[in-house]
Amino acid sequence: MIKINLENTFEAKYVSPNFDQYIFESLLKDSTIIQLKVKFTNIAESLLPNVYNLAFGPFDVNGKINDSINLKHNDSNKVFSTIILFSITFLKNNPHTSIGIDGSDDLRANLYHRMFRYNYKDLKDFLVIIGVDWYVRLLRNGTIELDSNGLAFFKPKPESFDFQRKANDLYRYYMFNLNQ
Amino acid sequence: MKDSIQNKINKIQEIALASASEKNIADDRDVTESNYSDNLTKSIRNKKEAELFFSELKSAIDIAKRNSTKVF
Repeated sequence: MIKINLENTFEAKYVSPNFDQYIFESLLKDSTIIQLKVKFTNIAESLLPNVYNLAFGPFDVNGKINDSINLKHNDSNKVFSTIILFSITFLKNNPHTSIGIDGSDDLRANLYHRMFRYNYKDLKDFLVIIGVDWYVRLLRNGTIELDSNGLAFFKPKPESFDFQRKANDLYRYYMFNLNQ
Repeated sequence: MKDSIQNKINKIQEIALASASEKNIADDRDVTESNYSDNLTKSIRNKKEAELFFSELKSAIDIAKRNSTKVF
């Protein structure tokens, strides 16, 4: 289980002037040091306006963030605590935005879900945590709303994170705002 | 917020200030990250959809703030 402790974080090696990109280093279990990047990207014109998607991971060969790699960090708690600290810094400098995390697979969604549940008491003074489900409209004629490709047009529905929801009922997307 | 955490944030802000005068190494190495699912990349279609989202988000935040003051 990830335990967030904002007192125990890695130092940033780089911070972009607008606070949307960070680089820090983490020690892996095999004793190698890896550079990790944290980036907040506004998904312009998306169904989640004003939400900045959080991506993190090492650089791949093309210089992009590889956020699907499974790394064995020596101190995962410290890695995630650092990411949360950077997130708070971003939100303090962009107070009218939200940060979102895509639980792109069940493993990751489960990790985020449990991380927010487990650390709620420590995070609630800093962050407001939101869960997002996706819904599609049922139309009067009994069909569902479709997009231009003929597929179900799912839309996000944010709600206050329900801490009673278990791992078999994960949110599709996780968001957090500054508790101000 | 605890002083120690605020100090950490202040230090991060100092690094950002220093970065402003340096070459942006992160942008150089970063092309585009686009691992978003189809749902996240779909475009919002009109102002009403955006307003509905903001309204629902505001309600969710208000409820979350109220819940955060409760003792579980």
